[in-house]
Amino acid sequence: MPVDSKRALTFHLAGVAFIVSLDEIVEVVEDLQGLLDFERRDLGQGIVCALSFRRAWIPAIDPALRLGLVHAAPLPDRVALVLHSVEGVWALLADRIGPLLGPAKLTPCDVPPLLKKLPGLLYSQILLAEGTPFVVFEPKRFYGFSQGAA
Amino acid sequence: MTGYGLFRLNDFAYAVALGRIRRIIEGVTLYLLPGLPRGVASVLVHEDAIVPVCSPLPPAAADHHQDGTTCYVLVDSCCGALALPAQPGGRIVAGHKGRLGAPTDGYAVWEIATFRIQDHSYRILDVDRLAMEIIQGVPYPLPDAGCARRLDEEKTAVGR
Repeated sequence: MPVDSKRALTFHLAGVAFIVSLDEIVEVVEDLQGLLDFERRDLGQGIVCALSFRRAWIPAIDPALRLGLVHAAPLPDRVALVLHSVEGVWALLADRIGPLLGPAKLTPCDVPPLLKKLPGLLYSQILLAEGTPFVVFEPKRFYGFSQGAA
Repeated sequence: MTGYGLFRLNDFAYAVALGRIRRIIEGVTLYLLPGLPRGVASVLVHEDAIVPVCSPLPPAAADHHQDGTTCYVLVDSCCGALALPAQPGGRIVAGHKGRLGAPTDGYAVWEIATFRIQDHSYRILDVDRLAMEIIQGVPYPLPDAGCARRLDEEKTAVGR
Protein backbone atom coordinates (compact mmCIF):
# COMPACT_ATOMS: atom_id res chain seq x y z
CA MET A 1 0.00 0.00 0.00
CA PRO A 2 1.54 3.34 -0.95
CA VAL A 3 2.20 5.66 1.93
CA ASP A 4 0.47 9.01 1.80
CA SER A 5 3.13 11.36 3.10
CA LYS A 6 0.61 14.07 3.82
CA ARG A 7 -1.06 12.06 6.54
CA ALA A 8 0.17 11.30 10.01
CA LEU A 9 -0.59 8.66 12.60
CA THR A 10 -1.54 9.57 16.15
CA PHE A 11 -0.65 7.52 19.18
CA HIS A 12 -0.90 7.85 22.94
CA LEU A 13 1.90 7.39 25.39
CA ALA A 14 1.37 7.77 29.13
CA GLY A 15 -1.51 10.17 28.72
CA VAL A 16 0.16 12.31 26.07
CA ALA A 17 -1.05 12.44 22.48
CA PHE A 18 1.65 12.25 19.83
CA ILE A 19 1.67 12.39 16.06
CA VAL A 20 4.23 10.98 13.66
CA SER A 21 4.47 11.26 9.90
CA LEU A 22 3.45 8.19 7.95
CA ASP A 23 6.74 8.56 6.08
CA GLU A 24 8.51 7.37 9.21
CA ILE A 25 6.40 4.26 9.71
CA VAL A 26 7.10 0.80 8.34
CA GLU A 27 4.31 -1.05 10.09
CA VAL A 28 2.17 -1.05 13.20
CA VAL A 29 2.20 -4.21 15.33
CA GLU A 30 -0.86 -4.27 17.56
CA ASP A 31 -0.48 -7.64 19.29
CA LEU A 32 2.89 -7.98 21.00
CA GLN A 33 2.15 -11.22 22.86
CA GLY A 34 5.06 -13.61 22.36
CA LEU A 35 7.02 -11.14 20.26
CA LEU A 36 9.08 -9.46 22.98
CA ASP A 37 12.42 -10.60 24.39
CA PHE A 38 13.21 -8.79 27.61
CA GLU A 39 16.69 -10.29 27.83
CA ARG A 40 17.74 -8.11 24.91
CA ARG A 41 17.61 -4.73 26.48
CA ASP A 42 19.89 -1.78 26.88
CA LEU A 43 18.22 0.70 29.18
CA GLY A 44 21.07 3.17 28.70
CA GLN A 45 19.92 3.48 25.09
CA GLY A 46 16.25 3.40 26.06
CA ILE A 47 15.90 -0.11 24.63
CA VAL A 48 13.55 -1.99 26.94
CA CYS A 49 13.35 -5.21 24.93
CA ALA A 50 13.64 -6.63 21.45
CA LEU A 51 10.70 -7.14 19.12
CA SER A 52 10.48 -10.03 16.71
CA PHE A 53 9.70 -8.39 13.40
CA ARG A 54 9.85 -10.12 10.02
CA ARG A 55 12.10 -12.90 11.35
CA ALA A 56 14.58 -10.52 12.96
CA TRP A 57 14.98 -8.99 16.37
CA ILE A 58 14.76 -5.21 16.35
CA PRO A 59 15.26 -2.82 19.27
CA ALA A 60 12.11 -1.66 21.02
CA ILE A 61 12.33 1.77 22.57
CA ASP A 62 10.11 3.11 25.28
CA PRO A 63 10.18 6.89 24.72
CA ALA A 64 8.49 7.41 28.07
CA LEU A 65 11.79 6.67 29.78
CA ARG A 66 13.48 9.70 28.26
CA LEU A 67 10.36 11.83 28.36
CA GLY A 68 9.83 11.27 32.07
CA LEU A 69 6.34 9.88 31.54
CA VAL A 70 4.61 7.04 33.37
CA HIS A 71 2.78 4.38 31.38
CA ALA A 72 -0.66 3.07 32.18
CA ALA A 73 -0.34 -0.11 30.14
CA PRO A 74 2.08 -2.95 30.94
CA LEU A 75 4.62 -3.70 28.21
CA PRO A 76 2.90 -6.69 26.57
CA ASP A 77 -0.36 -4.74 26.31
CA ARG A 78 1.17 -1.97 24.28
CA VAL A 79 1.44 -1.55 20.55
CA ALA A 80 4.58 -1.11 18.49
CA LEU A 81 5.18 1.35 15.72
CA VAL A 82 8.03 0.07 13.58
CA LEU A 83 9.94 3.04 12.24
CA HIS A 84 12.69 3.68 9.73
CA SER A 85 16.11 4.94 10.74
CA VAL A 86 19.55 5.10 9.18
CA GLU A 87 20.56 2.27 11.52
CA GLY A 88 17.71 0.03 10.44
CA VAL A 89 14.18 -0.37 11.63
CA TRP A 90 13.27 -0.06 15.28
CA ALA A 91 10.09 -0.21 17.31
CA LEU A 92 8.49 2.50 19.37
CA LEU A 93 6.25 1.20 22.14
CA ALA A 94 3.03 3.16 22.66
CA ASP A 95 -0.03 2.63 24.82
CA ARG A 96 -2.44 2.77 21.91
CA ILE A 97 -2.84 3.96 18.36
CA GLY A 98 -5.15 6.82 17.45
CA PRO A 99 -6.66 7.87 14.16
CA LEU A 100 -4.84 8.89 11.01
CA LEU A 101 -5.08 12.63 10.48
CA GLY A 102 -4.67 14.59 7.29
CA PRO A 103 -3.26 18.09 6.97
CA ALA A 104 -6.70 19.65 6.71
CA LYS A 105 -7.37 18.72 10.33
CA LEU A 106 -4.03 19.86 11.71
CA THR A 107 -3.04 23.35 12.79
CA PRO A 108 0.56 24.18 13.78
CA CYS A 109 0.86 25.51 17.28
CA ASP A 110 3.86 27.03 19.00
CA VAL A 111 5.46 25.34 21.96
CA PRO A 112 4.75 27.74 24.86
CA PRO A 113 7.67 30.12 25.54
CA LEU A 114 7.83 28.86 29.10
CA LEU A 115 8.53 25.33 27.90
CA LYS A 116 10.86 26.39 25.08
CA LYS A 117 13.24 27.78 27.66
CA LEU A 118 13.54 24.45 29.46
CA PRO A 119 16.74 22.51 28.80
CA GLY A 120 16.45 19.10 27.18
CA LEU A 121 12.95 19.41 25.77
CA LEU A 122 12.59 16.47 23.37
CA TYR A 123 10.11 18.04 20.95
CA SER A 124 9.90 21.25 19.04
CA GLN A 125 6.51 21.20 17.39
CA ILE A 126 2.91 20.72 18.41
CA LEU A 127 -0.10 20.32 16.15
CA LEU A 128 -3.69 20.96 17.12
CA ALA A 129 -6.49 18.76 15.84
CA GLU A 130 -9.93 20.02 16.81
CA GLY A 131 -8.42 21.76 19.82
CA THR A 132 -6.44 18.77 21.04
CA PRO A 133 -2.65 19.14 21.14
CA PHE A 134 -0.51 16.44 19.54
CA VAL A 135 3.22 16.46 20.18
CA VAL A 136 5.11 15.88 16.93
CA PHE A 137 7.24 12.82 17.57
CA GLU A 138 10.77 13.21 16.26
CA PRO A 139 12.23 9.68 15.92
CA LYS A 140 15.83 10.84 15.58
CA ARG A 141 15.74 12.10 19.14
CA PHE A 142 15.04 8.59 20.42
CA TYR A 143 17.01 6.17 18.27
CA GLY A 144 20.23 6.58 16.38
CA PHE A 145 20.84 9.86 18.16
CA SER A 146 24.19 11.09 19.43
CA GLN A 147 24.26 12.32 23.00
CA GLY A 148 25.37 15.75 21.83
CA ALA A 149 22.49 16.12 19.41
CA ALA A 150 19.92 14.85 21.88
CA MET B 1 -5.98 53.09 37.85
CA THR B 2 -4.13 50.36 39.70
CA GLY B 3 -6.27 47.35 40.32
CA TYR B 4 -6.05 43.73 41.24
CA GLY B 5 -7.84 40.55 40.38
CA LEU B 6 -8.55 38.67 43.60
CA PHE B 7 -8.82 34.91 43.48
CA ARG B 8 -8.92 31.87 45.71
CA LEU B 9 -7.54 28.39 45.41
CA ASN B 10 -8.83 26.51 48.45
CA ASP B 11 -7.18 28.28 51.40
CA PHE B 12 -4.79 30.21 49.21
CA ALA B 13 -5.97 33.72 48.36
CA TYR B 14 -3.99 35.55 45.71
CA ALA B 15 -4.03 38.77 43.76
CA VAL B 16 -2.73 39.58 40.30
CA ALA B 17 -2.16 43.08 38.94
CA LEU B 18 -5.05 43.93 36.64
CA GLY B 19 -2.74 44.83 33.76
CA ARG B 20 -1.48 41.27 33.63
CA ILE B 21 -4.85 39.57 33.44
CA ARG B 22 -5.90 38.65 29.94
CA ARG B 23 -9.13 36.88 30.77
CA ILE B 24 -10.76 34.30 32.98
CA ILE B 25 -11.95 31.11 31.35
CA GLU B 26 -14.04 28.16 32.49
CA GLY B 27 -14.87 24.72 31.18
CA VAL B 28 -11.51 23.99 29.61
CA THR B 29 -9.88 20.61 29.05
CA LEU B 30 -6.43 20.04 30.49
CA TYR B 31 -3.74 18.12 28.63
CA LEU B 32 -0.41 16.57 29.51
CA LEU B 33 2.77 17.33 27.63
CA PRO B 34 6.15 15.69 28.12
CA GLY B 35 8.75 17.55 30.06
CA LEU B 36 6.47 19.76 32.11
CA PRO B 37 8.52 21.29 34.91
CA ARG B 38 7.60 21.28 38.58
CA GLY B 39 4.87 23.82 39.10
CA VAL B 40 3.22 23.07 35.76
CA ALA B 41 0.82 20.17 36.02
CA SER B 42 -0.80 20.44 32.62
CA VAL B 43 -1.61 22.76 29.74
CA LEU B 44 -4.80 24.09 28.26
CA VAL B 45 -5.64 25.29 24.78
CA HIS B 46 -6.98 28.79 24.37
CA GLU B 47 -7.54 30.42 20.97
CA ASP B 48 -5.29 27.86 19.27
CA ALA B 49 -2.43 28.52 21.66
CA ILE B 50 -1.10 26.23 24.35
CA VAL B 51 -0.99 27.78 27.79
CA PRO B 52 0.86 26.16 30.72
CA VAL B 53 -1.23 25.80 33.87
CA CYS B 54 1.02 27.01 36.68
CA SER B 55 0.47 26.56 40.37
CA PRO B 56 0.67 29.85 42.28
CA LEU B 57 1.03 27.96 45.56
CA PRO B 58 4.29 27.82 47.49
CA PRO B 59 6.14 24.64 46.42
CA ALA B 60 5.48 22.75 49.67
CA ALA B 61 1.76 23.45 49.48
CA ALA B 62 1.58 22.70 45.76
CA ASP B 63 2.71 19.13 46.37
CA HIS B 64 -0.32 18.50 48.57
CA HIS B 65 -2.84 20.55 46.67
CA GLN B 66 -6.20 18.89 46.01
CA ASP B 67 -7.39 20.40 42.80
CA GLY B 68 -10.97 21.64 42.86
CA THR B 69 -10.34 24.17 40.19
CA THR B 70 -13.07 25.12 37.77
CA CYS B 71 -11.69 28.27 36.22
CA TYR B 72 -8.36 29.64 35.09
CA VAL B 73 -6.92 33.11 35.13
CA LEU B 74 -4.93 33.76 31.97
CA VAL B 75 -2.09 36.16 32.67
CA ASP B 76 0.71 37.65 30.60
CA SER B 77 4.20 36.95 31.88
CA CYS B 78 7.65 37.61 30.51
CA CYS B 79 7.59 33.95 29.38
CA GLY B 80 4.27 34.19 27.56
CA ALA B 81 0.76 33.43 28.73
CA LEU B 82 0.23 31.38 31.87
CA ALA B 83 -2.97 29.99 33.35
CA LEU B 84 -3.45 30.17 37.09
CA PRO B 85 -6.05 27.87 38.59
CA ALA B 86 -8.76 29.50 40.66
CA GLN B 87 -12.15 28.83 42.08
CA PRO B 88 -15.23 30.70 40.87
CA GLY B 89 -16.02 33.97 42.58
CA GLY B 90 -12.92 35.97 41.77
CA ARG B 91 -13.32 39.73 41.62
CA ILE B 92 -11.62 42.88 40.45
CA VAL B 93 -10.95 45.72 42.87
CA ALA B 94 -9.29 49.11 42.61
CA GLY B 95 -5.95 49.32 44.38
CA HIS B 96 -7.02 52.23 46.60
CA LYS B 97 -9.79 50.12 48.13
CA GLY B 98 -7.24 48.14 50.12
CA ARG B 99 -3.74 48.51 51.45
CA LEU B 100 -0.44 46.89 50.67
CA GLY B 101 1.69 45.06 53.17
CA ALA B 102 4.70 42.79 53.37
CA PRO B 103 4.31 39.17 52.29
CA THR B 104 2.88 36.85 54.90
CA ASP B 105 4.83 34.05 56.55
CA GLY B 106 5.71 31.08 54.42
CA TYR B 107 5.48 33.06 51.23
CA ALA B 108 6.89 31.91 47.91
CA VAL B 109 9.51 34.01 46.16
CA TRP B 110 6.94 35.06 43.58
CA GLU B 111 4.77 36.70 46.24
CA ILE B 112 5.87 40.31 46.33
CA ALA B 113 3.36 41.82 48.73
CA THR B 114 0.04 41.36 50.43
CA PHE B 115 -3.13 43.18 49.49
CA ARG B 116 -5.51 43.59 52.41
CA ILE B 117 -9.13 44.48 51.92
CA GLN B 118 -12.09 44.12 54.32
CA ASP B 119 -10.30 41.77 56.71
CA HIS B 120 -9.18 39.58 53.86
CA SER B 121 -5.60 39.17 52.81
CA TYR B 122 -4.46 38.28 49.30
CA ARG B 123 -0.92 37.42 48.26
CA ILE B 124 0.13 39.55 45.31
CA LEU B 125 1.80 37.37 42.71
CA ASP B 126 4.63 38.46 40.48
CA VAL B 127 3.83 36.35 37.44
CA ASP B 128 7.21 37.08 35.82
CA ARG B 129 9.04 35.75 38.84
CA LEU B 130 6.72 32.75 38.98
CA ALA B 131 7.55 31.94 35.36
CA MET B 132 11.27 32.39 35.88
CA GLU B 133 11.27 30.24 38.99
CA ILE B 134 9.50 27.51 37.08
CA ILE B 135 12.13 27.58 34.37
CA GLN B 136 15.23 27.60 36.52
CA GLY B 137 14.85 29.68 39.64
CA VAL B 138 16.55 32.69 38.12
CA PRO B 139 17.36 35.29 40.77
CA TYR B 140 17.01 39.01 40.28
CA PRO B 141 17.74 40.89 38.10
CA LEU B 142 15.36 39.38 35.61
CA PRO B 143 16.58 39.38 32.01
CA ASP B 144 13.71 41.57 30.91
CA ALA B 145 14.46 45.08 32.15
CA GLY B 146 10.79 45.94 31.90
CA CYS B 147 9.93 43.14 34.29
CA ALA B 148 12.57 44.24 36.77
CA ARG B 149 11.39 47.83 36.65
CA ARG B 150 7.81 46.87 37.38
CA LEU B 151 8.92 44.75 40.31
CA ASP B 152 11.02 47.58 41.73
CA GLU B 153 8.05 49.90 41.51
CA GLU B 154 5.85 47.47 43.39
CA LYS B 155 8.52 46.81 46.02
CA THR B 156 8.94 50.52 46.56
CA ALA B 157 5.20 50.85 46.96
CA VAL B 158 5.19 48.40 49.84
CA GLY B 159 8.37 49.73 51.42
CA ARG B 160 10.60 46.69 50.79
